[in-house]
Amino acid sequence: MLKKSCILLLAVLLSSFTCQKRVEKPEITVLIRMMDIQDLWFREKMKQFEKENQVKINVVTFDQVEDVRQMIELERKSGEKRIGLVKTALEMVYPLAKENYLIPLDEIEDSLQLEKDLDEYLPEAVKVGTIDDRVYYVPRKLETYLLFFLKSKVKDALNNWEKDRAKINARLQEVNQYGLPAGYRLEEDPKEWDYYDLLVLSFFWANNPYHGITMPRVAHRGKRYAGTVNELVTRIFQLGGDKEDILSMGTGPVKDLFLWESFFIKNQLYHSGMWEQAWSGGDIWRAISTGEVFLCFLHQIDLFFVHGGSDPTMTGYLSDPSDLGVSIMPRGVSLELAEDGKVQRKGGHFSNLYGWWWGIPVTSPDPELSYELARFITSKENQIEECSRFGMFPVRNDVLGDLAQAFDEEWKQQIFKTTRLQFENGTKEFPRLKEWPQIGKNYLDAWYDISVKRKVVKREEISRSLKDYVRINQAILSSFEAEE
Amino acid sequence: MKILKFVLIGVILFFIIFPLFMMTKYSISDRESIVTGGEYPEPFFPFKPTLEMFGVLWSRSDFMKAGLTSLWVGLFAVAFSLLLGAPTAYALARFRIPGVAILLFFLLSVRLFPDISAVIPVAELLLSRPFSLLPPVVLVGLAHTLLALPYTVYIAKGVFESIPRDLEEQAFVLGAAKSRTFFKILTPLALPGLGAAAIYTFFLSWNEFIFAYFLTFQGTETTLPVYLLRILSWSPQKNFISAISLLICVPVIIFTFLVQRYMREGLTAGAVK
Amino acid sequence: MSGSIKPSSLLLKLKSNLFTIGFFIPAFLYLFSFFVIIVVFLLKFSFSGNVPLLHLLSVDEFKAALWRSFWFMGVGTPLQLVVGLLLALLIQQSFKGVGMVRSLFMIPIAIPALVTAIIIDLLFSYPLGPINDLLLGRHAFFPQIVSLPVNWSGSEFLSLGLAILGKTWRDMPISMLILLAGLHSIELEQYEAAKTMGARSWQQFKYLTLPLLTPAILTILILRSIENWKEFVFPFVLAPAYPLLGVLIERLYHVEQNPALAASVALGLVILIALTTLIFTTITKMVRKYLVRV
Repeated sequence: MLKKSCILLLAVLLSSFTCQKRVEKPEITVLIRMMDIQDLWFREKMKQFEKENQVKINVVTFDQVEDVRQMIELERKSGEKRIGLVKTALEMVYPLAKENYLIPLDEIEDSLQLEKDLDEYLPEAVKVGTIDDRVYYVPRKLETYLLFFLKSKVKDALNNWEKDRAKINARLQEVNQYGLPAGYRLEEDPKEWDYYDLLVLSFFWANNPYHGITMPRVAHRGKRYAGTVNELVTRIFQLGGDKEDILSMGTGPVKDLFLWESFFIKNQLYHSGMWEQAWSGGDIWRAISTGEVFLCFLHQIDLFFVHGGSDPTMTGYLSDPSDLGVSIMPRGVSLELAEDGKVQRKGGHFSNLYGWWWGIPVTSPDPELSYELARFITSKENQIEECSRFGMFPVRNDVLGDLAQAFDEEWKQQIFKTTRLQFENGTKEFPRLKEWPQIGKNYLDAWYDISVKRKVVKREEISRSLKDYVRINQAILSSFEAEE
Repeated sequence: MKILKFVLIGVILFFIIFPLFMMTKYSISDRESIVTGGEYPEPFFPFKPTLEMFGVLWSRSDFMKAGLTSLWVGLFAVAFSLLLGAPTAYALARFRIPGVAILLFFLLSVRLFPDISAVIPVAELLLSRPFSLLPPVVLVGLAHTLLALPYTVYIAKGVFESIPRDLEEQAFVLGAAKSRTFFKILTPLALPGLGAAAIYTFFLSWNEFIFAYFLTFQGTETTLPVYLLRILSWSPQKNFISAISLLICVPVIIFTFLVQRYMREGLTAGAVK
Repeated sequence: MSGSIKPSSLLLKLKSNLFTIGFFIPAFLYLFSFFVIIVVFLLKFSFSGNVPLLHLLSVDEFKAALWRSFWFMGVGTPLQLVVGLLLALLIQQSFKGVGMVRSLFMIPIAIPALVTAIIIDLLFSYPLGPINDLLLGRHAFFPQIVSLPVNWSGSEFLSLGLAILGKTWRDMPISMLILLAGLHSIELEQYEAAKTMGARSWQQFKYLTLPLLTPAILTILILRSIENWKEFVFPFVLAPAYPLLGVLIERLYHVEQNPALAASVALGLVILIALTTLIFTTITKMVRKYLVRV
């Protein structure tokens, strides 16, 4: 009897939970992944949308960018319709559309209106969201890497690096039989830096004490996730590589990448936390705040957090925020030199282009509402608000046309001015394939093996070691073609 | 000898208090005390103590929501494990059940199963239909009941054993039905002890991480420890993490002082025998 | 008691005590069904994967994690015993304020493990954090001990050491309480007798306290070794690069999304714990027999 009453009680308890949800309003679920405070902001905005449109929006957070596929798949199998909008990272833009998880926008909105709507967004952003001539996505944000450095530390290196020239030459001779390139000097203008300049800066900082400690002061991400893949692939672009090089994994620029990485790791120019603590972006901020990292690649949003100040919890990570230096990406050059001491190969100041888009999945209970929601989040007001608080690079033409209205403070303008310059200097996208995450994983494996563990600085040995990974890439790609 | 003893006690107390002091210090630190750029050591007391982070947390809806979730999960676990556990404890304390020792051992041995192993089947079960239709608060509550139930039974059994049998028998002779006896006579007497079991269960649930993490990491409703981990994945500043940590700890520390005796019983349950 | 009851009367008793059973069943059923579910799921999953349980040892990740867990257990267990013993001995005899001291000794168990791990992570941050600042002599009141900052999470040894430290810190009240109960069960007269015989405190400890405390110590060894085998939170936060078995299970399940392999490792962990318990109980039995004979 007692047991029965327990069960009854439980049943009442449970039904009261479910009762709350039984409201006769259209209801959709949005899948997102955002920084905690941006997440909070987003939820506030959703409340506004709920009120204005008399609907109910559930916000669900995913963990890995690949998770969205599984989440839609599970829902599709279950036959329920809840997920109505998905924040899609660049690497998932292609697979989601290609595997029929999304509804093309022209099936939701009539083509004239759609064209008018899409004209409001940056053409580059719309282009990425277009697959097989059909637009699947509303753009959300674009981002590029920028070079972050501490102005004071760079100045210090500029003034004093010459005393270390001999030591640097000695290390380099082991690998390129020459030393620094003929007639080398450290460029004063960060916009002119190439990999040798980064090497000199790294070496100088790693071999001179700061605050009583001598340690490497340069880092990039090292955690096994998409962020690290992006950094590695960006370096291939800078070294003159293209999509084909990235996919084949056996060509010159890829070998150059591993050569540089091994060289930096072997000579203790990279902070060991990268692989020992599997650093993600946030770990790099922390390292900046304790004076462990003086230079790294950061996205616009990272730079906002490092500078700090646009939210109470954004305490910032610089003891002196005005010390924040920003520039475009360095130019990749080969570590190997010709006999006359000139670099053998030169690349460019490329950044990879990354971004997020809004996709409407086939599980949407109300595709028109989903579309409306995507338009609402990317409206002019909301975009300005989001950009100026969280350092998002806008995707709307009307916002980009007048940066001053979105970014009132000088440092913010500096970051976005540099971003524009980066766009002028070139941005590249990594290959858009469904199998990209697997290829990315292959790159991580290779980096951990060749550069971190074995620290191979011989080109022939790198070629040999890469063969296994080339084979894996081929296998991934051929299974892809077979499916096609 | 005596002096050595007190010195040792002092040293140990220092080691216990120091980490907690540092957490408190970080939570009230101003910017200059944590963002040093490596130029000077972090001070052992903030230059300009500030309660700013607590103000921020007070106004953060996600933190408040996690706090409420923790509260509800805890209450659910308490209610459920008392409803299930108290009758069982009563039966164990009052009636001769053959092989009672083995049963008791079995009850406790469920807890010897590693959480990290048990969590995978439990998560696979609770996150699939029909259980997944239940709100996350209930799911985590069910899991925490699993963890707390053996302790509840153990503590409650002790409570019932300490109540003189005569009382019940008198009531029984006077004609009260057994279930009424149970509620009318026993409950008020057992209440303080059961209250302690409830508090113990509540804080077991409040502190629990593994099950809550596997069951709610994806969703919007998480308990405070999982919230803390999620915030941690965005690498927040030390002052912010510490403020959250401190707020999670304070209620537990206070209640530990209040219900120590029962805490001790729970912690050593079955071990001394 | 139960031996004297005949089967038929047992049945009668059961019948008349349906009420009792009704009382008894709910909690038992709840625990029992979860127990069955856990065991069945683990078995089913681990056999559905492509790495059968017996071939786990051929997985490098598993071998490394097993080895680390073994060390974690092997170092952590005695350490926690010694710390617990120290604490228990300090507050065994009553003195003014003993209640307060005991309450303070209880604090660590109140702090959630995750919070403890995070505080330790903050304290031991590299290169500059409170501990490294001290060791580097950056504070005027502390002598310089190292010339280079210690990279606490940089090596397997140090990061697992931190995890053991955290585990020991947080769980010391548990060992303390069990030993304290053991100490209190040693009767005062025995001490008095020893005293009149002129035993000094060390001798007292060695010849009286320690042997009589053996059962409690053995209990702790069993409970602590189980706890250390299954530890998750501390290594998860403090040594993510060097996974123990528990951390490996989480990684396989969440990051690599391989529930089958995760279940195999989880089952492996259960078996290890069962084996350890078996070994320790056998030892306990032998020691008890030996003690009785002496």
